[in-house]
Amino acid sequence: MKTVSLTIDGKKITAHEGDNLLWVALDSGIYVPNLCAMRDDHEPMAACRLCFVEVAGRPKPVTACTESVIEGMVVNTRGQGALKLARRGFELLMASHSLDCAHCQSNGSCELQSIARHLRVSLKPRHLRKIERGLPVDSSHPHLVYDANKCVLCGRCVRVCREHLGTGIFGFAHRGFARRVTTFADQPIGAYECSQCDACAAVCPTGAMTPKE
Amino acid sequence: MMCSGCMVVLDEDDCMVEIARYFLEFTQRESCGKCTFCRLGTKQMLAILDDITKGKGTEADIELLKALAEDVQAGSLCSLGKTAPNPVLTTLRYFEDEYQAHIKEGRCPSLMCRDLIAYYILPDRCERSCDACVGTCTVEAISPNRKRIKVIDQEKCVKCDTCRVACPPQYNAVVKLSPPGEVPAATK
Repeated sequence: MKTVSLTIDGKKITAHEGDNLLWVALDSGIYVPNLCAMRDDHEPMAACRLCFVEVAGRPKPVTACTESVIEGMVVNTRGQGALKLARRGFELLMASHSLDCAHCQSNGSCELQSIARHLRVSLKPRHLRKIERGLPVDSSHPHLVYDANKCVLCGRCVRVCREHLGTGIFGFAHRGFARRVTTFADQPIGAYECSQCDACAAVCPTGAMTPKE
Repeated sequence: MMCSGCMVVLDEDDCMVEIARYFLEFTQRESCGKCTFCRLGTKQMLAILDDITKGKGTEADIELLKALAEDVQAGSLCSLGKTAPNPVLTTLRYFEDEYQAHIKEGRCPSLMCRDLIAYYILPDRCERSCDACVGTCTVEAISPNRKRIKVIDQEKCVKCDTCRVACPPQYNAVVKLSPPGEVPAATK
């Protein structure tokens, strides 16, 4: 495979042509906020809209997860335009996230907390209204607790269960603001036979899917 | 997004804030919900527009609405989200005075936003022998006073517009007033 060289934040990097820009940056130790990307995705999900970067020659910020690296590419992950969009996207997510870090199992390991630190924003939305989703918490499974109000709809659990384990317990349901990760026919998770591997809880970036204590 | 290649004709009786809210409500409902900006950004914008049409908007809401609209346009994954804020941005560009009237004066210039209008029967145009509005009122909010001039009980009125339609054209006594405080104290 052809090798290309590119620059990210002034750092010279070599990668294989066609590699995904987000993973090239992350592998080079340059953090770009992301929630929905998984390394072995066939194609990017591009749903969380947090990995905005600026690429020289492109008029607007682009999402790193949908870009392939090319020879001579110059990328700036700290451009004001890109950060502005990432911050807005993050604030939108937080405005509808049930924020209760003190009682959340993921406190300390939550990716939302590390993204807030990286973007230098607070976890509480500053400008936007809090619009809660008011969904029930599902604790029917012997190992899992699923709190849909903390879900950011990154789809990692859906893909890990479906594509990597071949089980497919979860899927997306409903449109727009009502969209959520749920099981077939909206049954409690406990009603389905699953291998209880807890892979979904392991990939969840937030405290939406957590192992039972 | 207003529709695909069609033309919508509006006149001075259409409130531009309400039109923006209506189209945004449509795209918000149509959003598949996959990406953050379209799913949550349009929801936030709709909440702001809802407040403005109800007379609960603030000066800061216009700035936030504009900033949100630009970010949703730039950040959404597909063209539904990228075009959803268009009605908001264009009405803000050409009709910002209507937004300001809603926020600062609690007045809907086109007399369309239900929370910012009141129905009133002009006493000098109301015909003593006519009972058209009394009969059609859906909530029995209209009754004649001692001079047989019809008066609307503002507490009971649900602003359904049937009395204004029922009032015979030769009288045209039922009018909409905005802000609702314009209605003179009832003379029963």
